[in-house]
Amino acid sequence: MRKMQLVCKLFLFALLVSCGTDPVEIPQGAYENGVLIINEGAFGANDGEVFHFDKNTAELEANVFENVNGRPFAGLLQDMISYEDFTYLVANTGKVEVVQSADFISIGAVNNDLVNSRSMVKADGKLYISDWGPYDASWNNTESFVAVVEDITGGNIAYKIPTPSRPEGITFIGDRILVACQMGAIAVIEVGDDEVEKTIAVTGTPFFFFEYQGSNYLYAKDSEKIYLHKLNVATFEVEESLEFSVDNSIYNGNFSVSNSGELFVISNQATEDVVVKLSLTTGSVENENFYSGSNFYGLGYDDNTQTLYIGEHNGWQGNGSVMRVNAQGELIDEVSVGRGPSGFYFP
Amino acid sequence: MSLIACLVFIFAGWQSEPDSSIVSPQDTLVLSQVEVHAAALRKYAFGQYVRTLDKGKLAHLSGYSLGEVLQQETGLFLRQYGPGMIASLSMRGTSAGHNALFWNGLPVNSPSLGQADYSIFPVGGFDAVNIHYGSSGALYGTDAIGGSVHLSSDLKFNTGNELKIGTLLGSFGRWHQQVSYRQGNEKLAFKTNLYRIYTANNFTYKDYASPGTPEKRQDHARVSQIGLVQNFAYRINTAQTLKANLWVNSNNRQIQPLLGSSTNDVQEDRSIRAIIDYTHSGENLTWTASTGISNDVMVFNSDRNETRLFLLGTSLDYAFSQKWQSLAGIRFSHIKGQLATYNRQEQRIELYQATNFRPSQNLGISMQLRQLIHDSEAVPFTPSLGVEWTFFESTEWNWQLISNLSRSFKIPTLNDRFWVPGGNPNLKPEKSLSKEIGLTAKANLSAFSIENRLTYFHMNVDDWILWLPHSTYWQAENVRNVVNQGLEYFFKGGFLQGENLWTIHVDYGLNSAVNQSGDVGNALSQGKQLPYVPKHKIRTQGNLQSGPYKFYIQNQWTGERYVTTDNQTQLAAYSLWDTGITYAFDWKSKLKGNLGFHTNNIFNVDYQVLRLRSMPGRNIQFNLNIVL
Repeated sequence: MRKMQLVCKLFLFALLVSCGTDPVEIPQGAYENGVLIINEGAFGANDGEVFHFDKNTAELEANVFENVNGRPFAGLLQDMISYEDFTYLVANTGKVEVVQSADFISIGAVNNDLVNSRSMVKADGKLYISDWGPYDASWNNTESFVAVVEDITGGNIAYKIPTPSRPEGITFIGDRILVACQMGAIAVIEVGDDEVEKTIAVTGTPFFFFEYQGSNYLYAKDSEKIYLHKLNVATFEVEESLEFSVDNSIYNGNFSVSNSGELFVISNQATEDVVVKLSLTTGSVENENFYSGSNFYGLGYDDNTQTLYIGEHNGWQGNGSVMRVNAQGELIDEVSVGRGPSGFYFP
Repeated sequence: MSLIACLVFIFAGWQSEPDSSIVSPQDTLVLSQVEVHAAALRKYAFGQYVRTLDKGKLAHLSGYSLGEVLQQETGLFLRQYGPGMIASLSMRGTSAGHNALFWNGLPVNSPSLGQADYSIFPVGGFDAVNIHYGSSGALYGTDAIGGSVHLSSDLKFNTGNELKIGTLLGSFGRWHQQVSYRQGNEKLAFKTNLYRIYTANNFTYKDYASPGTPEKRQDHARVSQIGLVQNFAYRINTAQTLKANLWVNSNNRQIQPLLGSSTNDVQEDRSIRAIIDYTHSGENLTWTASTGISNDVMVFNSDRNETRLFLLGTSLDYAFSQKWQSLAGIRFSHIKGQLATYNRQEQRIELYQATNFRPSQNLGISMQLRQLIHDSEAVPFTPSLGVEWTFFESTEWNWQLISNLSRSFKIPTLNDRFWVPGGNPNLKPEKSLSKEIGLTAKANLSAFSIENRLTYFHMNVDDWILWLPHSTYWQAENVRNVVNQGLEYFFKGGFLQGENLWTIHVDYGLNSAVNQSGDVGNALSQGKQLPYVPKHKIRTQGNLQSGPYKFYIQNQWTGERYVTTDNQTQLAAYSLWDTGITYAFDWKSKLKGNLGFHTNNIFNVDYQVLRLRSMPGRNIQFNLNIVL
């Protein structure tokens, strides 16, 4: 009997050890690989959607959100942010939809009191959503804010933090939330106090923060130049600015930088649209005509395959299309997608 | 025999004759104003179909908008952005700006937008609706590519006086009130009509934009409308008549947000329309002179847009003989626009001529010619030729073959040419070439009466204007070419069983509107059906009239509509059933009127005419009209 007990204990121990040490393979969800294509949707139609593209088979799944959830997304998709289990679909029509990253099943939303939401960041177990607020009679946004939601799966807004006009990109560095406000300033919010601690004026219209080789940058632009402002991590003041001469560059909520510091941007020129390649390393325009065409609207760079994805809006008369271009600037293929493909996410 | 005569009388008005007529002791047909208007519309329209909506049914729809009436009562498709919201008409697969709307002969399409919002024309502002199916630019001028709709007032001499009070109460806070008074003696007739329309539009809908699609109540779609219509007619002598019509209308509404949006837009539309007609009628000659003005103010949130159209025209209608008749006229228009981003004035002069030739009793030929000069430049010359041939006629049957070939055009709207930024002053007029052929069969068989009309049409619309994105703004361009073709079928059947009159109406429209050009830079659209043009719409109505009671049940089935030009997304078909009963009372000829009870969308169908635009479920209405 004692032998039996010993055998059982040994077996149980072996089982526990094996469970604790062997890696358990959790199968990846259908939408945790490939390319997620953000289709912004057309103004007045609220037909923003996410498409999924399989890089290996070149198969495209249209209308992922509607297919999975049995209802339309019903919004203009401004941005998409993913944090492991959850992906947040930010609509500038006043909604943030929370879906499970693996299967895109909607588990909640923030859709009360948002007006013109632009982007979002998760910090301190809360969601911080930048929102332009309403337009006034002169088409200005004087009541812009960052909405704070205390449940990361959605729900009501707990409170709003007033910000300078048109908060766009938003990031979390150290214990501060930084907000790129289009009126030419960074708003710094201390997490916890949740109010604007200070604002920092910058050159150009700021849009988006990104990290490259451990440094934090702010992307800004005007009609003639693109500015990459390197920020001091303690004071968030601009430490250094890189300037690139690019006319009429567009920004629509997405961004494309490679691991080797190459940055792709769209420039609307007189007769065509051009993809311009910039170098963070040299601080100069590397190729002022990497690829050209018309109706360019969104870009995404896949480092794994060194492929540039270009979204075309096709004149907004119908759905758009996506072109894949290799590192040499040659067209690989083209596929029809949703309305206004504005960005790409590579899980 | 009298039964057949009765049925002939009832149904004759449906297709090519006025709805009703009064036979004078001299056996001369005296037509009321509205009938004269409808007859004039048809007179030079051999080979095309001008349909008059049932005036009795219109009377019960008082307070409804023209958009609701056309959607519910015809096979035409209207793009409705919600109940009481913007409604634009699509005829034969064309766009909203490709049909012309007239009120007592005055063009009321907005000169800046080039189209009419059919939701702000309430029944009450007019007494009759005539629909001209098909291209009719040679007859009516710009915009009438897919067809035209004519609203007219009904004012008669020698009708004594009448006070009419009407009200309608319905679901979702719908409350209409109307008071009208009319008086008519041998020389003078006038009618004053005041109406107020209010709809809270607080219907429930499924919010597809929220997780779990919760049911919500619409809270930003209130519509409030008030108006005055004044009609006046003076018979100067047996040959001369002076008529004047005035319509003042104000519409305030909250714009129902698209599902997923939380906008709080408001729109106010104020319009003043007036037209004066002088008619001199001789034995073979009718001379008409008209002048009118249409002033529209639209305030969207705080943006104010105002347009004014002044019209001056004269025409001469002369019958050379029984076989030959001719109409010639000239029309001058002055248009002024004060829009949010530009001010503009312009002049248009139109010369037109129409000829009827009837070589025999069973053959009629119409030819129309029109030349419009627009700011000193001639737009394409616009001819039209129509034929109507009765190839078989007996006491029971009448078979007709009809055919028409016509050009039409649309002058680019003020916004298309001058909006800042993106207006393109170099735009060419949109133009179309249209062909149609049809067969009409009427039969009066004992207690049965039937009418069938089948038309095939083919239309090529070129230089279709689209707004396309450029580097920093959108610009209007002539880019699209579309081929529209399809079928229209109308059926009306009647059966008299004792005191019970049974009737059935069927309207069917098959519309194929295929984009040939693919637009600029969008090959995905080439060869595809235009968005929001259902290939099929069928409307069926059954009626039973028994003494003072009238009962009806009707269905409208609208097929799938593509949402985008590349046809990748489509909206589901829907089928709506409505029913109602009315009771006409007459208490010793001192108090007359009718009571009605109606249920719309009986099966509470959840549907959208346009994607993400919620529409109401089952709703009821009660109406009472009293005539003193």
